[in-house]
Amino acid sequence: MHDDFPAPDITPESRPFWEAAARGTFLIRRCPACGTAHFYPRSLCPICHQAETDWVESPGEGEIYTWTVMRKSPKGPFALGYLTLDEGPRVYVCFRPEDHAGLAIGKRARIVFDPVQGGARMLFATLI
Amino acid sequence: MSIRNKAAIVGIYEHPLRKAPDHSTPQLHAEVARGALADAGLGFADVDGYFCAGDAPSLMGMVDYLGLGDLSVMDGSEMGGASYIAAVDKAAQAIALGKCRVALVTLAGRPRQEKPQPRPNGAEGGFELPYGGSPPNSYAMVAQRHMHEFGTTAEDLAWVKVAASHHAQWNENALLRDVVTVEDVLDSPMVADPLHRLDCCVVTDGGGAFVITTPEIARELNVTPVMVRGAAHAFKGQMGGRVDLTWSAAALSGPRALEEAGVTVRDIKYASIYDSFTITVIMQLEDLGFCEKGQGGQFVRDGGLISGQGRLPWNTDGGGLCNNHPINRGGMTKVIEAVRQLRGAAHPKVQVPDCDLALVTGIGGMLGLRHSAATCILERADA
Repeated sequence: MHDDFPAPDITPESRPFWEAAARGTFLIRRCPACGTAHFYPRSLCPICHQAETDWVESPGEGEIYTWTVMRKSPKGPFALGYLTLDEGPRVYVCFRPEDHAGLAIGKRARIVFDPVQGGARMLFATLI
Repeated sequence: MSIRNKAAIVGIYEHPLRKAPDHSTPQLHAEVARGALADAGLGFADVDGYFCAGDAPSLMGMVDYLGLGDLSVMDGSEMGGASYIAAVDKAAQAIALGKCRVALVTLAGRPRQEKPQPRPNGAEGGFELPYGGSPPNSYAMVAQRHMHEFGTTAEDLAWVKVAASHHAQWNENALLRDVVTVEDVLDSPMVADPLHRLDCCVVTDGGGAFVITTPEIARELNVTPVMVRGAAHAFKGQMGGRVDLTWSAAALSGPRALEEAGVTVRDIKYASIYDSFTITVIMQLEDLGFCEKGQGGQFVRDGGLISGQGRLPWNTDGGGLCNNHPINRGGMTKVIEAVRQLRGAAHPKVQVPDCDLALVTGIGGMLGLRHSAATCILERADA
C-alpha cells in the first residue's frame, strides 16, 4: 500500500489499461503494421504512425535501465527509474521501498500493481 | 531563408532580487521589461513584438498589464528553461520577415514564495504524475545512466559546481557566493542518487528581459549590438519507450544553430550552457561537440570550465548553480550573461578577452522524461 501516492488519472483512451491493472494484468500496446510494442500506451503508433494499435498482455519483466532514490521528500524516500521490458519498451516506474538498497542497472525486475490512495492500482516495480 | 545577422539584441536586464516576497509576478515582469528597454534606449511605445512563456500568468494578461499597444507579433510558448533561447530564434525570425521591429522578451516569477503549479495532465499523466517525480530525480536518472555507460564520476559532476562557484564569488547579486571544492559537493546531502545538493541549481525569485530589433534600428542606438548569427530549437521525449538517456535534444539544436551561423564550436569564445544540474552541463558539452560523447567528465575536470584558466569559459555570472535560476528556468540569464560578455561588460575577473562569439543553450522540462533544447549563436556586431 502506498498511501502517499494519488490515484492515476484515467482517460477514455487509458481505461482498458487501468481496468486490466485492477485485475493484476499488465497491458501494453502493439502496432499491427510495424509489430512494435510501445509505452506509455496510445492508440496512434508513435513509431510508424501506420495503424491503430492493439492491447496485448505482457509479463512485465525486464531489466533496470536507470534508477534514483529521491531522498528529499515529505512522503519519505521513493525510487524512480526505467525498466526495459523484454518486449523492448522502457517503462517509467516507481520501485517498491523494500528494493531501494538493492537497485542497480541491469538487475531484473517486474511490474506489479499496488494500491494507492482510494484503493486504485498503480504500476510499481519490484526486483526478481 | 536564414536569420543570420538579421536581428540584434540591444537591451538586457537581470533583476537584482533573488527573493521577492513583496512583489507580484506581473510587477517583476514589468520591472525587467523597463530595465531592458532602458538599457537599449527604447521605450514601451517602441515595442511591437512581445514574447513570454509559462512563468507569465498569461500572455494576454501580461500584454494588458504592460500596456503594450499595437503588437504585430506575440507568443507565449512554453518550453520551460529553453523558452527564452527559443524566443531569440522566434523573435529573430519575426524581425527577419518584417513582422515586427522591436521585440521584448520577459521572464519573472516567485518560486520561493509560491507553491509550484501542477504539471498539465496529458495522456502520459496517469502513468507519471502519481509518482510525484520532480526535476532532481529526472536529472538523477540521466546522471546514473551516464555514469554507468561512460564511467563519469561524482567528482566529475562536482567540478561543474566548483567552476560556477569560482565565477559567482565576483557577482554581488549571486545567491551563493562561496567558492566550493569537490569535497564540499560530495559532502553535501544526497538529494537523488547520484546528485548531491550542490549538484542542483538554486531556486530564485526575480527575472530578466532582453530586447531584439533590426540591425538598422540597432545601429541608431547607443549600445554595442549583439547579432543573432544562428538559432534552433528541438525536442526529445520517451520515443514511445525507446528513450535513450545518453543524449539530450541539444544534440539536435546545437548543430543546426552552428550550421546557420556558419561556425564550429572551435570558434566559440564563451559558452552559456544551461546548468539546472551538473549533469545537464556535461551532457550538453558532449552533445554540442565540445568533446566526444562520454568525455564530458574529463572536459570539466580540474577547472576545465573556469574562466581564465580552463578549456572553455562558461557561465561567468555563476550560472543557475550559484547565481540565479529565476522561476526555475535559467534560459533568460544565459542570454543576458552572453550579451554582457560580448559587450565586454562582464565582471573584469571573469571577462573573456576579445570575446566576439558566444554560444547559448537552454534545456526545458525533464531531461529524463521529455524536454526541449534551444541553442543560439551570438556575435559582437563589430567583430
